[in-house]
Amino acid sequence: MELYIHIPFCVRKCKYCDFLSMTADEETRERYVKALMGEIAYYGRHMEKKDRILETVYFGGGTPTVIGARNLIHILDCIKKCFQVKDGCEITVELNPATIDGEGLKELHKGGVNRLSIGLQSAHNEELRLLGRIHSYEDFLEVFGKAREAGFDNINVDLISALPGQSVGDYQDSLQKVMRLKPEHISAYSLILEEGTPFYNTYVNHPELLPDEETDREMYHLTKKVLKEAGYERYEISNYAKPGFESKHNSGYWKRVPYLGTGLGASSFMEGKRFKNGTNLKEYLQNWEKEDGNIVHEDRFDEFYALSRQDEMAEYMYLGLRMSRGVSIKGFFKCFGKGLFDIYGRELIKLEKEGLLLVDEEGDRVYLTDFGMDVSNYVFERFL
Amino acid sequence: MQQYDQSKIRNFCIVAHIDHGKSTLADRIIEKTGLLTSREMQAQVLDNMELERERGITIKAQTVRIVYKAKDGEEYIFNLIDTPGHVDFNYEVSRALAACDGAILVVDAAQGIEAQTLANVYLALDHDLDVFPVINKIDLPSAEPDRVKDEIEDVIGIEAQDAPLISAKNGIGIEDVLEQIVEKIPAPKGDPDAPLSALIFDSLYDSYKGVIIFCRLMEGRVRKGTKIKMMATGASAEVVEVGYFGAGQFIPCEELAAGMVGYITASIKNVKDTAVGDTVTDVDNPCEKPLPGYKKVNSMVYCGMYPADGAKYPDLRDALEKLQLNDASLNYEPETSVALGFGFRCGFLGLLHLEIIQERLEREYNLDLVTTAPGVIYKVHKTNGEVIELTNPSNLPDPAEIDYMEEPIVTSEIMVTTEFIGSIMELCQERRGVYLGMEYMEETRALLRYELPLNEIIYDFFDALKSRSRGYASFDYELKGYEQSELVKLDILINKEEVDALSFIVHKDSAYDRGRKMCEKLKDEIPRHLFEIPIQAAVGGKVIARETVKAMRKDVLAKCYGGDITRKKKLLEKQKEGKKRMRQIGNVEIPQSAFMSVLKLDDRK
Repeated sequence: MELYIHIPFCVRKCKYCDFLSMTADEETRERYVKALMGEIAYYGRHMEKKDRILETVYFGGGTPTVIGARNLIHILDCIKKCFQVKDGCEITVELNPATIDGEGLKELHKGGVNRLSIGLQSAHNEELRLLGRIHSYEDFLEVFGKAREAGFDNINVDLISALPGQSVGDYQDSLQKVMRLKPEHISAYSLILEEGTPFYNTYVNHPELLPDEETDREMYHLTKKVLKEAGYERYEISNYAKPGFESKHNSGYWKRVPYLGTGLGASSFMEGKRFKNGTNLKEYLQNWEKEDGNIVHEDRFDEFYALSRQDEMAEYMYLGLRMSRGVSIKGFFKCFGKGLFDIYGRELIKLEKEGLLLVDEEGDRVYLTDFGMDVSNYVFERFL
Repeated sequence: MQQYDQSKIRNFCIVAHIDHGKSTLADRIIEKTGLLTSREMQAQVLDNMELERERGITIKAQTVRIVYKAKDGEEYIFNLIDTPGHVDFNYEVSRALAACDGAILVVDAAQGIEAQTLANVYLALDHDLDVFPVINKIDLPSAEPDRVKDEIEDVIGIEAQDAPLISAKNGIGIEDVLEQIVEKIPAPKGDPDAPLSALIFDSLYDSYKGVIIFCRLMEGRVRKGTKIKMMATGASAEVVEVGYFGAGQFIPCEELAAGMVGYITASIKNVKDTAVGDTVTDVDNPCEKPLPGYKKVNSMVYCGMYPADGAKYPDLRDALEKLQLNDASLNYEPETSVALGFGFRCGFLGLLHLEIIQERLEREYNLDLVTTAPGVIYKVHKTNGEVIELTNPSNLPDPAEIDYMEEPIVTSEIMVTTEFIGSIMELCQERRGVYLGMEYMEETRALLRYELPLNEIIYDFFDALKSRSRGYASFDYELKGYEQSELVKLDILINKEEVDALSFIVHKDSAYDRGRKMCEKLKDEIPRHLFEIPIQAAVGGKVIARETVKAMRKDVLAKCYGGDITRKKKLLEKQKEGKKRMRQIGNVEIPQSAFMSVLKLDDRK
């Protein structure tokens, strides 16, 4: 199984961000760390030993480094005590430039973290300001260099395309600057306006301030082309990696590997159920910071949903097809005891005709074409 | 039963322009007469349909009988017959007026006489009613009661100097109104011992009692057991119950006699048998001839109504059946559309009537409807001499078989302040109006007369009129007849396929403009597909306008943080749900809103 740990704190909220994150004082952060360890310990006590074997650990946010390297390692030690961390386990920490120094990075590396994911988003300072980021491109260069110095040999860099006012040239420049650093992994998303964010409010009625769809797609297609030339393969809609450096943790989501999410608002997928922690910080703290931590209310979940057979089959498709390699026909039969074409034949034939999907029966794969990736939602909803 | 004394009965109605306070005054009269305490009064007692109350207009005539103890010490029986307040229901209004002996004219002290004031008061005078005016809303700062009195005398020519000055809203001056009802409205006449003749001015279907006939006894008597006959429809039945109208309830009594207003039930199953305007008589002792003024009401406006969910077709049929029990002017017959599946072609008195039925179907019967553009009835004269009454554009014969076509024309009166005369005349020209004349009511206001094709005013004329006169213009019309016209059928093609539900008949001079606007509108309504979609407007196979919905290039949600798959699934489900509500035409999905959007093409403000 996989373990996700959510750290919902940031120095400041970015203007496009709608993830669960907030600013908090030191006391709250310390209380949160304690509560988090309470929650982890609870699962350690209540899960069967054979189920407590971790393939990956992922600290996500927010900005995990906001609680400090020491606290992160503290939590990791707690995890090691409560779970069995497998040899070669991928342990990732997300971070933003200007939230950690060289010492901190060394501490993380020493403590067992073996992968970093750095939120850069753009190599242009004016774009970073527009996004409401707290750092400059130079801050990023510094943290990236220090990370290499500390011994990290598996680093992801996040980029966002289709920013307000951004030209294809601007974006290409950011991309190339990042490529020159030779990170092992690059995530390249195009900007999405999420309701409730300042960006949404500013741009939803002014689409003319954003790059048009043609430009957006040009950037997106350029990413694939340029990165391929540099030895990166697209293995998922928005993720690119040097061979062997695909994110194990994120791939687990698409492959429907069970995962436990701990921390505020974290999502889990265990024993065929999807559930999600509540998002009220005060309640979370009250629930988990008690020493015994044994009294756990079922209403701590915001969502709790047992998947039906049909849900599982649909997930198999719309999660699996996010990956470039697509889904396995035999794998489907192994999971559900039914032929993929018996269940989705009509949809698959239609999608293939529309040029969105390819079927390679000999190679045992069904996967999206590049255009299929562009309009993946259109494809995925067919399986619901 | 109280004693029957014709001289103590007053049968009257209230006429007014919309919003001048007719219903509010009715409420106050009922309240002051003491039948109801203030606490029991719901606002606007007479408008009892939920919809009526929301829209602030009276859709179906309501009637109430009240007892008033006058200053002369005598008790009078008032039958207040409330009339519908919209031009769509002119015939119903005329029958309600025929049941009265007098009318109260309510005029707003600030706004003075409006188009409907005139139309309604002339209608009342045509029925030989004694009309006395009441000036309402005198507590408004902008009230000018003296100016309005002069205006009433000058324009309508009825005495107005002693008109009660009232505020129906605040209950000021209501006593004066009650006293003037006694003084100025004549008692009914009619011989209770003559053969029965009673005028039907409304009817209502009740699931226990069957049809309840609202009527005014002109001559004779009726009681339980009387064998009655409707002279126009020929239906006959034995009376089960007679009575009069309490506020919101039916109060049985032994007998109705000449001069009285009340109801009759006789286990009649369908309101079609008890048409408004028909005469009720006694089978055993019939009157010589029916009361004058009966006519069959014809639908003026037609549209297609389809359930959004095809499986709800039987529900829609049942709902229409039920509504028709109470609304003899609603017509419907099944039809099929390639685009919309099974539905009904429905006929209405006018656009308001259409909207009311549509809203009632959606609200009271929980149906989600797709409505096609409303149209009028065209007369298609074929070369073989046959004449077709066309209610559905899709049924237009091949142009080669058509000799000529006719469309309904109305004469209309538009009351407008002088500063807007120009823009209103311009609007009427655009709508193919023929100018008939103009009269100045006073220095600042004029009455414009135009002949207009009905199909030019059923969509959005009223809205356009209001927006171009900042809300000041008022409007009334009546059907004049049919005139020959150069009409064409405008077809809409989506991805080269004709969409029958979007076709409509239009004058050839407006075809290009309407076609262009339709294409523009549809371009915004139809979501992007994987391929480019041409939208074309065509007349007789010739394309006159075109727009293109560009192909979809992107439909992707890249981020998926912390494994929140449920959120992603919800987004996909929402997107899929949106598509479910669309109609598939060829390989194009068209949202239902597209079928309605064509109703609002006047974008000029």
